Amino acid sequence: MAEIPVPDEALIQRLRDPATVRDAFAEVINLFSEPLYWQIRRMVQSHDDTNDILQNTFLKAWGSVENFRGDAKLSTWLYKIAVNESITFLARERKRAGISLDDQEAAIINTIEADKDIDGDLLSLRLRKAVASLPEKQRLVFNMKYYDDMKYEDISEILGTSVGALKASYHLAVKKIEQFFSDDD
Amino acid sequence: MKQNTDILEKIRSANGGMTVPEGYFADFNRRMAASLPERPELEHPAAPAVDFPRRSLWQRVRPYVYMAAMFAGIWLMLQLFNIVSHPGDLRPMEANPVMAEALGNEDFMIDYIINDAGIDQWDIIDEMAADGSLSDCDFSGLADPAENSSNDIQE
Repeated sequence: MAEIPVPDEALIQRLRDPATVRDAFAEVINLFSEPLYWQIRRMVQSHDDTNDILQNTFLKAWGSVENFRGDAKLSTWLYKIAVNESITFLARERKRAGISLDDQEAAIINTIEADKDIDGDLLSLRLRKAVASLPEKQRLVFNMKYYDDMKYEDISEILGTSVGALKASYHLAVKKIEQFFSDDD
Repeated sequence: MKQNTDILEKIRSANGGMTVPEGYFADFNRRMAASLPERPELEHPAAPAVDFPRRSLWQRVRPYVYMAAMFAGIWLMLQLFNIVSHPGDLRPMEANPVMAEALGNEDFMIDYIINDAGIDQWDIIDEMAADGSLSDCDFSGLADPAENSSNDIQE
């Protein structure tokens, strides 16, 4: 589980300075590539797809870095871009394969089973499949809360959903996963 | 159910059992930073293109002068319209002493009316006779018109 880094104010200031913006953004990449990678990977499962989406995430962030005013957290801004990129990717894949949102669950489980970049832990593999069985929004909430231990307020800002709805969503997700393990046993 | 929650607690520390190739993040960070496209408008924002020359005093006050001239013109036009539409109020008599003196001089007015105003003097006399004004007149110094007529005939 990668900790979400908290950039210092000096880095934010350097992002606003034309003379230092490129170096500062390289530092942002160093800070956030790992937590963003895992956030994306947990959504799309495949390492190669995650690599592409992560690149797009940083390219989009670089393309609109002047729009980051500093009134929001840098991490929230980057997570929002990464989540949008992940959802766009999944929607594109659905369209390409001609499958519905419900059918995509089976496709993701297939991807998990074909994944070679794993540590061989069967329990973790079962959890990945359980999470893959969740609806897209619940999956996002579960990943952010369970793996990244993010605050509901931050998740709310990223997903544009109320804190109350997020708590209910997470609670439902945990119940479904517990049910998944019970049924599997 | 409690057992299942414990399972979630147990798995929490792992990245869902997923791994990345050795040195992936260091390599990714290096490649990503190197592949950021150039953004000249962000990294080298253009300096202000033209340093405008300092404006002279006349250039600065010219709009106000033009505006004042425009209002003055409007005021003069209104005055002109007022004069044309109310000619009786042109100027009070006290403001024109030459005209006041002329109108106050009875001899001048009589001469003016008889000689210059184009009014027939016999019409004036008829009017005076009609309203009884002739009774106040002293004609003693004047020759009898009948005598004058006969003299003229005799001559």
